[in-house]
Amino acid sequence: MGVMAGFSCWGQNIQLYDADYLPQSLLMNPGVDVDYDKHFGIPLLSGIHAQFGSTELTVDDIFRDDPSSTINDRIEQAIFSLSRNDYFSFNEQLEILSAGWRNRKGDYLSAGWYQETDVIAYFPKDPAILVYEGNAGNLGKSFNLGDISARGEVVSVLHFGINKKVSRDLSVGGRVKLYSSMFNATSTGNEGRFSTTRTPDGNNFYRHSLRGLDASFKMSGVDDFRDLDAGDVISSSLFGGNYGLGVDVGFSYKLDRQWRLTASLIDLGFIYHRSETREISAKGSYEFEGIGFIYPTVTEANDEPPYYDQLVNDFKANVPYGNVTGGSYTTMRPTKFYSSLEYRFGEPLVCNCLNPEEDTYRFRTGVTLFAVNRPRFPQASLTGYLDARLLNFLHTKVTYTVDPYTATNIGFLVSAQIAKFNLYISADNILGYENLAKSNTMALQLGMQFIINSDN
Amino acid sequence: MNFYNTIKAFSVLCVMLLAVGCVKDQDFDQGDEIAITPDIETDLVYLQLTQDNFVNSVGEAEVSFVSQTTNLNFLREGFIQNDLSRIDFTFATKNSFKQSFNTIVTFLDEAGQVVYEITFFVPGSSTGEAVNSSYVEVIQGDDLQNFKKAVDLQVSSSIILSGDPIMGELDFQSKARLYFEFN
Repeated sequence: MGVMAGFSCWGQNIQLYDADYLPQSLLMNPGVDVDYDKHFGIPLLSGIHAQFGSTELTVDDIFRDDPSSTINDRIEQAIFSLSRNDYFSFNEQLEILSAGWRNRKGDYLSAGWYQETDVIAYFPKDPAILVYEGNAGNLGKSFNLGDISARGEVVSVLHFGINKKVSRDLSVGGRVKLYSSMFNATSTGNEGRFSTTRTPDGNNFYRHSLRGLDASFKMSGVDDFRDLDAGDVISSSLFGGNYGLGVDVGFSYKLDRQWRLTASLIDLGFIYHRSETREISAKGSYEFEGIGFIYPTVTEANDEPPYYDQLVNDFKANVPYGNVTGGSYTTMRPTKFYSSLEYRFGEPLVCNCLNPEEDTYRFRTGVTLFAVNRPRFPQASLTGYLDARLLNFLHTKVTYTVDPYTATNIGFLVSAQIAKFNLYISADNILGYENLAKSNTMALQLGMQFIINSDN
Repeated sequence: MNFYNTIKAFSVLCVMLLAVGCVKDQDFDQGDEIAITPDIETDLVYLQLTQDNFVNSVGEAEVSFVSQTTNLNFLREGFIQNDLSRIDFTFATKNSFKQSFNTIVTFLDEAGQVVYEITFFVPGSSTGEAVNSSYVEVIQGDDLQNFKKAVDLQVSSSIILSGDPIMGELDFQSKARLYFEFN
C-alpha cells in the first residue's frame, strides 16, 4: 500500500514557487523578484489548478483486479493499516480575473479574483473500526471519537497585492485578501471516548462508557449546489454574507550575485461565518449498563415506570444535543509557509556590465520548504529543483519532492513566452500518471496570460 | 518557434499527460460486494429480586409471579429492520433462594401480541450459596423476521414454591449480540 505515496500540496503546484517569470508565483510569494511590468490573465483560463492527495490509501489498494483477495479483505486491511493522521485532500483553484502593473514608483501592483475549493478529511480510525467491526471484538478498547476531523470549503477570493523593491537586494511584498465563503463544513477539534468493558461485579455484563464527548459539525453557506444557477453562483461567491480577511507576506533577498533566499506566509486570515449557518453538537458523558428493572415489593403497587423514556431522557440530560441554525463561527484559513534557497549559475543570459548584480543566469537550482497548517498539525515537505531557461522563450523546471511518505514525486513546469503571450503547464508526481489508481497524489496546473515587459 | 507551434507543443504535452494518465487493472464492479458486518454487544435489562418481592412482613408468600415491561423503541429503527442478520441473547442468573424460578422473556409487538418468547429455568440453591446459571438464545432466519416486529420487552419470573422459607436474592443480567450485515 502506498507504493506511490505522494505529497499532497495545498494551493498551487509547488513548481510555481520561485517561478518569478510567472505572475502565479506572486500568489505564492508576494515578495518575489518581479521583472515584468504588466500582466493580465485570460479570464477563467489564466490559472486552472486541481490536486488530490491521499497520504496512504490508493484506489488500487481497494479496487485492484486481484482474485487472490476480496474487496472486503482489502477494506479491512486498509482500515487497520491507516492511521488517524492519514488524510485525503482535494484542492481546486480557478483564476477568474488576474492582472498586474508597475506604477510610477516602480512598485508592482497586482489584483485578481479566484475561486478555491479545499477539502481535507482525516481517516477516522477508531470510529471506522467501531463501525466496521463493532464493539464485540473490541471489549475494553477505548475508541477515540476525536479521530473524526474534516473540513471543506468553497471560497471566492478578491485580492490586491503590492511588490516593492526596497533595495538592490531585497524585494518585499504583501497582499490583502477578501474572502467570501460560498460553502463551509467543519468538524474539527472533536473529543470523546467510547468503550465497552466487562463488569464481573457490576449490575450487568458490561459498562458502556461515553466519556468527555465534545463534538460538533458546523456548516454555512449554500445548502445545495444543485439548486444554483450561474447568477446564484456569482452572487453567493461575492455576496454570500460569510466574509473574511487575510494577508500574504513575503520577501526575496539576494545574498550575493548568485544566491537568493525567499520566504512567504500565505493566507494568514480568517472567515467569519454568519449566513445560513447550522451547528450540530453533542457534549457530555454517560455510562450505560442496561435498563434496571425495579420490581415492587408485595406492599407496593405494581407500577411499570417508562424505563426506556427515562433512559433516553437521562442520556439527553447528560449528553445535550444541539441542532442550531443562525449562529456564527470563525474558521482560520489554512496558512501556508514557503521558503527557498536558490543558486543561479551558468552563462549569464543578460549581462549587465554596469551592474553585475543584475545578471541573469540560465540555470537555477535550490530547495523549497513548504508547510501548511492543518486541522491536526502542520504538514511539511522539501522540494529540490532545477530551473532552466532552455531557450529565450522557454522555461522548464524539474522538481523532486520528499515528505514522510514518498520517494518518487517528480514534477515539472514548462512555461513558454511568445512575445507577450504566455502559456504554462505544471504537474506533480508525473510517475503516478502511468496508473492513477496507484497514485496517492496528482496535481496539475495550467494557464495562459499576457506578460508584458516594457524593455521588450 | 512561433505562436502556433507553441500552442501545438503545449497541446501535445497536455494530450500526452492525459494519455498516460490512465487507470489500469481496476475492477470497480467489486463495489457491489462491499459488506460491512459489525457485531454489537449491548446490555439489555438487569434486575434483582429479594424475598420482599414475594412475602409479606410475617414471611407468608403473597406473590409468586412478578413482571416488568419496557419499551425498546430502537428495535423499530431502519438499521435493525433492514440489516440485522442474527441476534444472540445471553441471560445470566445468580440465585441464593432455595426456590427455583421459571423465567420468561417475552417480546411483544405494538398490539401487545407475543412475537417471541424465551423460557428458561433458574435452579434454586440447596445450601443458600448463590447458584450461577446462564442461558443463550440464538434468533435468526424466519424467527428473526418475526422478532423484528417486537417493540416491548417483558421479563417475568415465577417462584416455584417448595415449603422452604422464602429468603434470598436473585440477580438477573441480560445482554444481546447483534450481528449486522450492511450491503
